[in-house]
Amino acid sequence: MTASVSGSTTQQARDVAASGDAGAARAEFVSLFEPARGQMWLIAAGVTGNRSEADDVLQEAAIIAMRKFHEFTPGTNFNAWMAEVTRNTARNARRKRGRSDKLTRAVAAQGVRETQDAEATSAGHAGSVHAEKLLAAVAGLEETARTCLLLRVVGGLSYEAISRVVQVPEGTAMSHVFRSREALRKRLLDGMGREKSGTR
Amino acid sequence: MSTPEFPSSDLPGASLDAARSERIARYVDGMLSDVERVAFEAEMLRDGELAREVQAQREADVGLRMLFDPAQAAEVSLDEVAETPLGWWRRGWVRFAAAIVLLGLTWLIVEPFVWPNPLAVAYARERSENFKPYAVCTTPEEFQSWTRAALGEPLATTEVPADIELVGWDYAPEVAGYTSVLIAKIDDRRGGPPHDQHVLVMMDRADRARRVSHRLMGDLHVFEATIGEVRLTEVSPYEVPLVLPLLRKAGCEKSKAGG
Repeated sequence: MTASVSGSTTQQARDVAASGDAGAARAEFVSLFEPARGQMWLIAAGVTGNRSEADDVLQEAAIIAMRKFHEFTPGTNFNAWMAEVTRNTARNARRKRGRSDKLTRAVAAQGVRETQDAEATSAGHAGSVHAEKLLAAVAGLEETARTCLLLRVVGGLSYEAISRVVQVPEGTAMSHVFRSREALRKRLLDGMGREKSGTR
Repeated sequence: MSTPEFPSSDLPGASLDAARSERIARYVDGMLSDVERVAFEAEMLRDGELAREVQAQREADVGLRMLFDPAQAAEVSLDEVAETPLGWWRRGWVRFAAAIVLLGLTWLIVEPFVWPNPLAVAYARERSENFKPYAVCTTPEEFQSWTRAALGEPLATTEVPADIELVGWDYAPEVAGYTSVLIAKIDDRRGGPPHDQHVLVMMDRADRARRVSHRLMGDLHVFEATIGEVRLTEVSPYEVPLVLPLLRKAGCEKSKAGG
């Protein structure tokens, strides 16, 4: 997982820090944000259910968090704090977009063909993992379940870490992951079944 | 790492499928113990459906990792924050200047109520003392001598009308410690029986004269004039200056008095 913040490296930011408090705060923020960037993107993707929107959300969340960085208590869990900012930003973005989670699921049930076709094609893995069906299944998950799933499967976070970041009990995080995986598995297996029956 | 038990009753609709899903997930994640793993793999050999599910799970996981790879996410730029100057209100000096201006405005509004106008106070004191002078000049020479000594400038008077009497001199410490006061009595015959009114003329050297507000004077009026190096302020119940026009620099015909 790469993590980069363009416009300034940590070293550059630290150089700036010498010129004043604002620079020091920025350098501190960058040093904490960079390692967390991947996780935050997954949270943004989990809440919005949309990869390209996650990019915009993370960008906005980073700027908001940078401006509110004085509210962060040093020594506490930065990832949990940043996750909250990201989640709120993502929810606001989703609200602005005017799509509720329910609508997302309804659209996903029909297959969000245009977007997902484009995303599946860009992933270049449509044939082997049924990317299109996978994206539809992911879009059909509830927000928290989707976030837990991505943090576990893609981010490789422990359930304890997911619990802290998503702010749900550890057992609930596990339930979300198991049930989400089951939903995805079934979607793929159903697809396989239809494909097999279609070829007969 | 501890692995909490799967809370099968945590979500609605949980069933035996949940336990199966948990085992598949644990197997795929490599979280089963060796004994559990061997048993699970043996079960897969017997149960083709289970093996299919495990395979589907692996494909789903791989697909998720490819589709939601954070490494492919757009870069995050914090430049906007870095280049955004502090909001004008957040600049300390702007706040400081605003506070000073606010205090100044507040002072202008509040000050007259906190400290009464010293001219009005001086007039009230003279009235309470029945406008009794501290010194009286009986000749024009004495008048010039007094003003020269007190103000550094000899003053004289033009012909004083019959209804005006220059009573004498006093001091007005309310205005300044060195302010001289010329007390004049007006024989007012307008609109009824004759009665006396008093007019005060505060005098100071122009270079040390204190500027005094004209506000909150009640029924009194304030007129100012400068004669030579002397600053004069007439405090009067009348709407026009009565005494200032009578004063002039000694040796001159007229003063430049004005209201």
